[in-house]
Amino acid sequence: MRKTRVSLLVLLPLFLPLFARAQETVRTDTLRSAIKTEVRSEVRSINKMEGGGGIIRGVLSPMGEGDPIRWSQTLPGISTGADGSSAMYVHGGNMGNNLFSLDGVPVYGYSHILGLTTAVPSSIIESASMTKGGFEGRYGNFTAAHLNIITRDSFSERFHGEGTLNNFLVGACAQGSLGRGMSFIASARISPIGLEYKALRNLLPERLAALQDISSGVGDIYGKFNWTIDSRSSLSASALLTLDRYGFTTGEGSRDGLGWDNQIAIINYRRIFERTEMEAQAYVNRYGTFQSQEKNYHGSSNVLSLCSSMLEGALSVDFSYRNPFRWELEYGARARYALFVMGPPSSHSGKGTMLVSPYAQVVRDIPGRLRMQAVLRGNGYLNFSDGVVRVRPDVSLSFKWNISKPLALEGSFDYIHQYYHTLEGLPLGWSTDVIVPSGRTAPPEYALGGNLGFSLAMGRHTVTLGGYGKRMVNLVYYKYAQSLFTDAFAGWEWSVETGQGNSYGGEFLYEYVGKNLYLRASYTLSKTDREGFATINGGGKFNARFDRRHVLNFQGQYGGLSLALTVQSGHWENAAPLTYQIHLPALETETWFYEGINNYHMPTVFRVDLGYGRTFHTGRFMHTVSVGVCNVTNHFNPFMLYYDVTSDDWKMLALLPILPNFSWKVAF
Amino acid sequence: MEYRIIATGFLALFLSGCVKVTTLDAELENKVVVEFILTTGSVQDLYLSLTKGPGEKEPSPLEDAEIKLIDVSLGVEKDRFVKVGDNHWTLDYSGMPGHKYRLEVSVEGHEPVWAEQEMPSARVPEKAQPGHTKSQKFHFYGSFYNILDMPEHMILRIAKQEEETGEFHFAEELCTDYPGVEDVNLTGRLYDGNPRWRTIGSDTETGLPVTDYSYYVRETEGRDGVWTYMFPDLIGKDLHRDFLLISRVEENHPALGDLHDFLGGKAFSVSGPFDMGEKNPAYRGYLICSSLSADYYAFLKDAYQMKKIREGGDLSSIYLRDNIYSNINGGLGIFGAMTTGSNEFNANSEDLAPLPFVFEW
Repeated sequence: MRKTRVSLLVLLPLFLPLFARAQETVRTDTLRSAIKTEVRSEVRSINKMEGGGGIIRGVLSPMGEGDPIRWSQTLPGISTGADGSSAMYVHGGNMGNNLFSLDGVPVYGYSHILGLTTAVPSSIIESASMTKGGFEGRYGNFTAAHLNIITRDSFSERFHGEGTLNNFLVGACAQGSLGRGMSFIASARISPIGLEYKALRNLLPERLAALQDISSGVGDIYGKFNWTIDSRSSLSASALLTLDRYGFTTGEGSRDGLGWDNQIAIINYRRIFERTEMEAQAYVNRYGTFQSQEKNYHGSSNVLSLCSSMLEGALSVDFSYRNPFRWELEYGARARYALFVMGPPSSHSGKGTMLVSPYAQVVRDIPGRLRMQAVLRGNGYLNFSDGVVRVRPDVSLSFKWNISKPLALEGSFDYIHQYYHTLEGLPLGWSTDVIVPSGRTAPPEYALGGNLGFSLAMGRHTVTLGGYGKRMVNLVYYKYAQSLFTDAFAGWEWSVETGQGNSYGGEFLYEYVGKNLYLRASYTLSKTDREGFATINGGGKFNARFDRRHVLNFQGQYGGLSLALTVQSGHWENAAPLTYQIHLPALETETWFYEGINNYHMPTVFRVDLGYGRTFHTGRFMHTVSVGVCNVTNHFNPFMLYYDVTSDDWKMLALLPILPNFSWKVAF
Repeated sequence: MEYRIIATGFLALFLSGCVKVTTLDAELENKVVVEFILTTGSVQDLYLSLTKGPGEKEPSPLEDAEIKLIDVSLGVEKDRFVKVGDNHWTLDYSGMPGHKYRLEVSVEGHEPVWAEQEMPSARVPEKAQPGHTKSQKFHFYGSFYNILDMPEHMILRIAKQEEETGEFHFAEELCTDYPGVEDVNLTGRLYDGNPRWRTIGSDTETGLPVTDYSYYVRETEGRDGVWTYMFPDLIGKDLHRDFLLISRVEENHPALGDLHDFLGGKAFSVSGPFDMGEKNPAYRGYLICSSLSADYYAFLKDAYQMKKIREGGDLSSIYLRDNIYSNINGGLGIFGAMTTGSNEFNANSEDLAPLPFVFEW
């Protein structure tokens, strides 16, 4: 088996615990009470789950600390991307069909550290919610799921500081009052991967002599200013900047680079009138990606590169009104302008769009008996580059009927549109986060779906069981992988085909919240396919890439000990072709035959993670230390495929072999 | 020291556990590959082979096969094919334009495969005007052809034949302004107008009157005097190697409006940087047009593209997922049909010479 230097990039941080073991001084254990408090604050529903910052950070992860993505990936109805990545596929949708929002503002490049965590620091998270159906009116332009993160507002009179160190990140967070109703929270994180690499190379010069040219630049900065103007109004301004840059060598004359970044600025104004609350928001959001390969292939020097970026600016206003008879009315509108740029750097040109979405939402809540929600949203969309104008409605309905005290029936129906596409069909080993606008040749995607299920709550036990069905229309598929790296990609719309997707399945969730013990098991049985792409697979059905038939997740916590297990059917890749010879004069060559799309079943994902956490105090400092081992059985779970030009074959790379992790947080 | 041992052990463990070679073998069954282009020639060649899977070094050899060609239009089966070499069978037969054929191939251990095909009619673009016919020296540089009544799909070649020996010399680079030309065989060079005569200047080589031939005359930066060009509308067009692969475009195609106007309507030109020599009794020049069936055209287009990619060092070719077009039911390859005709290159349309040979691709 050929070793690769790529793997070392992600493996280096595992040695950090060895450097840091002298710091593992354990004095007291307060985690049990933390678990009880946080778990009980969690909102459970077939359509929506909500968790506090504590429960999210408590999820086992290779970082030694959970994040909203890791938390969501353990929920039913959610299929993950490659093991270790932050990709999520909900009810058969694509990754780009999810909305990941920070205080309601989309974060398009939410993965961080090669997908091991999210771009949003956990220390600034107040709560997170995951909605899979019965969507709220104020959020639109997605068709699968909404992961909404609410950041903390700092109201404390005194200054708080926090420092974090784990395998992959070093971070600091500060919050405090500025007086006169003003407060702030600020966070910065940077990855020490580069430093760790240099340290290891000095430590093990013989072993790592072959390791060269590994470079990285990873970090994020968040700041939020909050001003409580008076008892009825407040103003906040926040900004998030993230950066991921990686470069590594995979063989002689072969260098890979990839990266992405976000720049987001948000201003929020809230005002409370008699029974009405108003929130106005403005934001600017830029997201960019790049990936490049420099390889010597069959004697020729090749440079393949792919860049895309989008700039979005939006204004929104939302009103919520609650009458004394438990009717809630919410209404408002959001207008957003976006500029998309894609293709190799030589051919960048912008394509602008405008999306205006007014909405109204009605909620009828009879506590303990019934809750119903109905949303109607209109979408007016204009693509400036091709002049296409679309006007489409969105409808979302949901209910929860408490048949008896422990038993409830829940359901939802959604007919919703999305005006930004994430291209499917990009080649093996290339990122799948190229976002393009809908237009004449790629109309807006829409999804028609619903779910129905029961939830049963008996004492410490909670069970939900439900089923869903979904039809997705106007999914886009990029046909000509080769032209992806040429100027032709700037005219991507002539290289896509649209088709449909179908998904259906059942979801099961069991939770036990005991005095010292917490258990959660979720299982999803589903089937997702694609069809109707005229020249792809002859227009016939084929497996969606991340159609994982079985997804089982289990989590257990007892005292400071945590255990997580995941078993998932392998995803689908394009199988190697049959080879044949053409004999006709002047055409003699060897060529390939590809049987179909996504016709190779990758190995089953199996991972067991163990963790142990303690909190203790030294003076006015509170320390939280967690140690763990990710993938205890060292099961090979492929993260990506890449082509080795030296040996002319494909290789699978696992991101998470058995991997010790360590996290230390100190707060004052 | 102990620390180093531990760290080295971890490193070895993780390096070996992080990467695995994979063949992505979906364990597909091998397929029968048939390559057969029915022509108006006297002997037909058929190539038969098997695919090989990801784990195989060589395809399984094919010793025997039962191959039938049936003239569906007449309802008769032709003689059986004869194996003449590895993967190579022949049949003494000439395809009949306008007839429909069915090919059936049975290979032991595989399901029978079949395909049907209709021989296209013999159609050659009509000449609208030869190039430089009013010149006293009939050089052999190209002609204009009417866009009407063209075959649906065709291959155009230019050749001259030595009358004494019958030997053909084909133009190695040629170009056209017809919009339906495919770019499967570009040479990477552009047509430069093949400047031959300086009409105004110190050395007037031909003395062509500028007023009568203004279409051909251009002042060119970097060149002394005013020069006459061959087909100046083609200047800057891509040069194709050996042939032009063309698909007829719709009559309302916008690029047709840019073509040259003749009394009979629009005409496209075919020329190149070649000089086939003065019209000499020792030579006859031809435009050779092979009408292709739609299936054969689709196959050719894909196959040339694939060949170009395979022979290059373009890394992005590893991401290709496209198959070469096939019309073989149950297998791979092509059953195509081609009918070839020709026009004498420098003669007027009324002087069409009968095809003196059967051009076999």
